[in-house]
Amino acid sequence: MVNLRDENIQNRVMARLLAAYNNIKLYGSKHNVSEKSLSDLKEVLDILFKEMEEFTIVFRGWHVYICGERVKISSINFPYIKQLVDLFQERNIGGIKVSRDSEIKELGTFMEILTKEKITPEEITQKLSDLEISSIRVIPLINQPTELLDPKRRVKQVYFETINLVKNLATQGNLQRSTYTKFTVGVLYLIDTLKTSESLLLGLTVVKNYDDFLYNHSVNTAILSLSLGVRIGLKSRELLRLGQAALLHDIGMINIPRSVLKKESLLSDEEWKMVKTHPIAGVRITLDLMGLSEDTAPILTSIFEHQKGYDGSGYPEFIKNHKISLYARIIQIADFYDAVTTPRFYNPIPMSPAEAIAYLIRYSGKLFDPLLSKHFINLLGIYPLGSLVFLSTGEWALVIGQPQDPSKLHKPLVLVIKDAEGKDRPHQMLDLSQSDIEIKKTESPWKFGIDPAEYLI
Amino acid sequence: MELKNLLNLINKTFRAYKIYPKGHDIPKFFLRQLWDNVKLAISETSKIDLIFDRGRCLDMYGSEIWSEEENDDNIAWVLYKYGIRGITINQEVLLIDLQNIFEAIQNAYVSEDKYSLIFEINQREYSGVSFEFIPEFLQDQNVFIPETYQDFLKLKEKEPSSEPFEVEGQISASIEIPIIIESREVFTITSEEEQLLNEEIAKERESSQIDKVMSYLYKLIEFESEDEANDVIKAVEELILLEINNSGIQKVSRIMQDLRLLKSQLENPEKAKIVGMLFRRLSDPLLLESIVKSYIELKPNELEAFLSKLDPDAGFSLFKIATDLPQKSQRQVILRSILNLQGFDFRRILHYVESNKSEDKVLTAGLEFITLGKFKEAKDFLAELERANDPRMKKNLLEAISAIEGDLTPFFYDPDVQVRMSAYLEMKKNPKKSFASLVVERLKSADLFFKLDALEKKQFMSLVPEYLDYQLVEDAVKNILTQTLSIFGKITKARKYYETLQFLVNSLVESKNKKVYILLIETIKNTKDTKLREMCSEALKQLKE
Repeated sequence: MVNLRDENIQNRVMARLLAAYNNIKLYGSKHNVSEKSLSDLKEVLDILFKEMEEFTIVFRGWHVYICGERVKISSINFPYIKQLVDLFQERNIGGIKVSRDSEIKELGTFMEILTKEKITPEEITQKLSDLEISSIRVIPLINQPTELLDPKRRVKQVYFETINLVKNLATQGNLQRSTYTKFTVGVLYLIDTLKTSESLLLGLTVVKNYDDFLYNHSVNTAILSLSLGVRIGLKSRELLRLGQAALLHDIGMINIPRSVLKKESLLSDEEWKMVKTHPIAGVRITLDLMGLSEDTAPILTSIFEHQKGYDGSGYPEFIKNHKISLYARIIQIADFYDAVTTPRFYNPIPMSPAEAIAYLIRYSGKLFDPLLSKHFINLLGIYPLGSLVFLSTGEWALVIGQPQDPSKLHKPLVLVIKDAEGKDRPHQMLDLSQSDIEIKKTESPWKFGIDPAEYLI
Repeated sequence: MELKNLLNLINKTFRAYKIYPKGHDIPKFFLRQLWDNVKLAISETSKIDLIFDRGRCLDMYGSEIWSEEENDDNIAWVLYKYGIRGITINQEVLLIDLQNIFEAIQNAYVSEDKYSLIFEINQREYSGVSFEFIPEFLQDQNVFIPETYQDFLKLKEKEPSSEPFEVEGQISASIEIPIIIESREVFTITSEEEQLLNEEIAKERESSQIDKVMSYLYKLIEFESEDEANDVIKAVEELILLEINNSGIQKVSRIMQDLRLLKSQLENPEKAKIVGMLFRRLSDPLLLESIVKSYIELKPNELEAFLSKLDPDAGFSLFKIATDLPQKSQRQVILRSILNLQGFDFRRILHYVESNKSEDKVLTAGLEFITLGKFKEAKDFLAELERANDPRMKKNLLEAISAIEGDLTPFFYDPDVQVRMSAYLEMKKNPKKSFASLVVERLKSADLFFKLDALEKKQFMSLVPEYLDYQLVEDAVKNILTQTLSIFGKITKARKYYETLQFLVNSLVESKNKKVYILLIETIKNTKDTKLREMCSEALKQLKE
């Protein structure tokens, strides 16, 4: 049974479709290289034909549907999607249908027709008909101007608008229904964006100290929490509550004097005491904003508990003999990860993402829920996005994507940025899962004055 | 099933939901019809993809399947306008999914808010429906989206202000990382672990977050400042009122019980006062009236539990509410809850009843209340009512007098059969030695056999076993069971005579009094009346069974 949602299958289809097109464009359909790539394409299509009569690939804006299933956009497949979207949009084609009885030769002829620039769907249909090819049909493009936004731009838009929503919510003394609705819809957009472009959105969590740390950090925590929530199978309404809770988890910090927060040295006991009041202050603000109800109870519980360790350590101290709620345990991990990887006044060189993961592992089962920690590591990889790694080639690279194969978490997609002497070099993307190059060590990018956002934003 | 026809039906259902109020039958009719057709359509294809493009609805491949003028009677237009780009219905779809969509539209429709539909749609769970939003719907023109890193730098925080995170020292990455890679265990999730997490999620779903958050809020009241306690109490009050509105009165009772316990444990008298004020506010007469109206018919037990947790001062308001209720069972719910209010002022209620005794509804509720509460303080008031001999209230009055163990003799001899029967009932419920002679007198009277109607006889005989332990009653019963009717009597009065005996024997058997067995044996042995003997033998058989 073929799983049409299997990203491997989807990505293989797109990659082989593009490879066949590119080779035919370069060499013509009868060249050996083209024939090989057409046969590779047919091979993957045949897997699908075991289950269905017809293969379809449809483009709706930046969404690609293969046999009716939407393809999740990731940093791995984004280049293919971009090329395919450009190719089909230029020709006003909304998609293609290929029936099971199609032959390799017919596919080659179709691709050759497709290589003609400015060819219209009507002309393609006419040519196919003249050549008596009925196994391949083109679908005209639906004019959808609203969806033509580049997914990267869209993800950025959702990200920065969510920051703005949290800021508005926190700074508004009295919550109006419309603000609450917009805030909720903002979380829904975040969830929706995660479902379609998870890795692009996760990539944006390397954005640190944008505008005001509190709001930036809250959105990063929400993205990480929601990704973890999706991974462990939370339902949509649960994700909504988790997202709201994560966005508001530190809202009590707005009550802490800025002199304490921007202090360059370590905090005194008295100052720590002040900081430790933020969960309760957060609950009070959230109660004021949203009230107390069945819907807000999980949010309030999470705000109360997000500083309590898995083993019951942490604060507030009056929380005893209660198992910390699932949402709080998720938020705690995400909160920790984003906070310790962000440069702060008192700590300008924060942990590298990989160090943060190492810390998470060390304290898994003590401070952090062990199972959720494992899922979190699977989500971010051992070398999360934005990690600066030293390669066996002697070069320095920044992690920009995770491998699809979970057994190769230690082999991410990297962008080589510095040579062995530490000097800038032309950037080169490397998929370590397809190479023998190893990661030798990791460092905090901030130590070298590198802001990962420069490469990932 | 053609998709165009399905869209027509969807639009009709949408319009019905738009026009008719919530709960109306017409939208339900259309929904049912739509559901039958959706089932049919989904059985023909694995899923239905609908894309809304202004006033048009397109299929997965962009072909137009339905189109109407762009106005608010067109579902495609409305969904598009409110940010829904597409709907996918798959084989898991349930009727409730469709209902949820239309109800969300109905709710959103009343709001002018741009985001109301997306908000409402996402307040519900769907089994087999998913939605696609219009990506730029949320767009806020005032938010600057940095295109490049240089743009981003301009907006970087000038004065970072964050929560310091407490970590135990710094970790050297060069030591830790190789350990991670060597041990895959740190990221490999076994099927057992997966199962464990699923179980935990399921448990989390079942557990009540509101109970947990309430327990934390109680701690805040206990440990934080009075201002803090006041804020929390206000939020709790809001929750209580919302829950009452959402028919969650049972939950509210629990919260009030916890709050009462908390109040009794608070060492700070000011905080106790803050909690007390909440109870006082919840005892507002108008509020109570609306709560009683909402729950008295559908959830009387939950209402009683809730009212019982109120402030004692609520007793008087509740009594006045009870006087307006038409059914005794409903009044009893309220009156019982007043009795549960520790420290309520009975004298105030009694004074109110005395002052308003001319009003039937007040007097009725007052007497019922005295009966329930067995208030001896009402003795004089009841005696005064008895003297007035008001025929309207005799039954209620005798119940009240019985409850405070007063004298029922006048009612025993009342000319009204209903009053007498009520007196028998009370004498049965509260047997007293002083009533035994009344029972004997009636047992010996010929009226019992030949004058009283069957129902009264039955009612009277039912109280006899309760007095069988008094020798004089036992003797009177024995006497009845051994006497024989004259030949003349047998000819003229046999039916009434044996009917009376049958009622007596039946009530004896039903009472399961130990003495009954011997009484029956002796009767069988001694009586010359064959009919009575048969009656007793039959009764004995029943008793043995």
